[in-house]
Amino acid sequence: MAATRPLCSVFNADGSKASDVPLPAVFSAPLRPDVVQFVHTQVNKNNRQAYSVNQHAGKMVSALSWGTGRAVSRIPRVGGGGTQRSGQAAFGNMCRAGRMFAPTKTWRKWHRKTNTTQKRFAVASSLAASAIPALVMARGHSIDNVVEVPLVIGGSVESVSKSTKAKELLQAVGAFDDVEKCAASKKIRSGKGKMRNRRYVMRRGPLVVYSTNDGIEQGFRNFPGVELCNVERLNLLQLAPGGHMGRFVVYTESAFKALDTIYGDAGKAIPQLAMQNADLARIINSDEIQSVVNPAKAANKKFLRKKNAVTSNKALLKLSPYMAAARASETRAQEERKGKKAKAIKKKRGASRQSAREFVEKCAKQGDVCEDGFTL
Amino acid sequence: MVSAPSSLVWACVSRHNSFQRQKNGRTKRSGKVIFSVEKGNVANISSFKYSGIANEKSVDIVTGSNDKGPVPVFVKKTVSKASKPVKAIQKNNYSTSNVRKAQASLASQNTYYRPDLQSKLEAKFSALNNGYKAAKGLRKMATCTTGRD
Repeated sequence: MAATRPLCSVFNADGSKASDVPLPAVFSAPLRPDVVQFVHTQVNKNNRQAYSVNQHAGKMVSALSWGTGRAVSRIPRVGGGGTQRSGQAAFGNMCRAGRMFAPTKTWRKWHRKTNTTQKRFAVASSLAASAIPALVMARGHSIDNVVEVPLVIGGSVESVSKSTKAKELLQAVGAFDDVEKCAASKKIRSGKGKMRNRRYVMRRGPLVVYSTNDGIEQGFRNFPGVELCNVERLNLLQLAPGGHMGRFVVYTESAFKALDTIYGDAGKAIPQLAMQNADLARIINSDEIQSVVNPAKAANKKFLRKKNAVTSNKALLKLSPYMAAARASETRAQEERKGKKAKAIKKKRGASRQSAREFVEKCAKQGDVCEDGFTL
Repeated sequence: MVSAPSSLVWACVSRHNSFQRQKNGRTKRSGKVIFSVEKGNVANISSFKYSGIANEKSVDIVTGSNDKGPVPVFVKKTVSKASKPVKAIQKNNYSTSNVRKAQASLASQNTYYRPDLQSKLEAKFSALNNGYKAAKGLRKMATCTTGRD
């Protein structure tokens, strides 16, 4: 264990801070959701009651198969005559009034033995989880106004036997939000459970852990969702309902202190951490690791789609950079040639137009056709 | 006070927690989207980077108010107050009623805290601000199309 333990505040019933108390060693137990969930599923089976169908159901008739050749299936058929039942198929799970498939038996394995060490591991783990606000929030408890997690109440809280006082206390430390959330969550159960004395469902609220019951049970037990538990009899079903660790727990000061004698050197062994430092980011970014790992590799090269240099100018330029200059000079030369030609044409056309105009004028001067013969 | 490393907390809560909201497909391959609605998750996406519960430091924009009505307000976690939930979230109320000014100050408030979330922070700020404006009738509501057309 660490030499110096972190301190945890103890609050008065009015919400003011009373003192500090060292954090019990059990809160350093490893967080193992897998162990908690496994143990929970095992332990949760231990309050089941046996049920089964009547072992004679569907077997109360005498029936025999008619065999082949009667153009009916070979299922056993009720014998005799004089009643509708005779000749009807019997026994099979597919038959009307037949027995069910694999009839349930009262000697099913209802309960599970769980290793004591595993159970203690799970309890220690869920106790540790109940001290981490993030995990308590993730379980769904509304603890936004809670003064501190783990929440320890000092003074004479164990003798608070009146609910009005208990309510004031919970409000003072910000724990009543969770009770209100539970009250608001009360709904009619879906399914047949509601006709089997399990009519309503409700969220779980705070778990109050005390060491001696001087009236605290009577004071707190009637709030919706609130459960109470003696610190000597901590129960995984209460500490991790549904197998999800991180129940919001309210400790009395004496119960909190008692955890140090129940777990640790004086009591039950606290499971060892598999990893002393579970802060992965810090390990990865430490000098020790960073000095030995290879430098980061460059990202994979991106290959572009292949282009045909004959049809794509860009691809051509990549292959032969001179093509740009060549094409430019070619264009220039072309334009120059074009200019020269145009000039020449213009010159020529201009001259021929002149002579044509002169010819037309001369003709126009001539007067009537063929007056002076054909020569102009 | 007790603290667990962020990566360990994320390992405990990443599969399922009370803040997750899963949309569409039932399996990972059938296009499931997992959102997360806890305080401090600026992108409302269920991932370690954005998680408001697993990370020691988280930033968010929440609804505050000034004399003109609701305004977006920058909040962040106080690392040293992690075990005191009532004090854990620090709300930076600004005295100015100029929302634009507040938006401009986001960068300086977050420079040394979670610079990797800066763009998401600004996006959420303006999205919320536009929503408040639309509610007041100062601005048209952004049209939202669904489906292919």
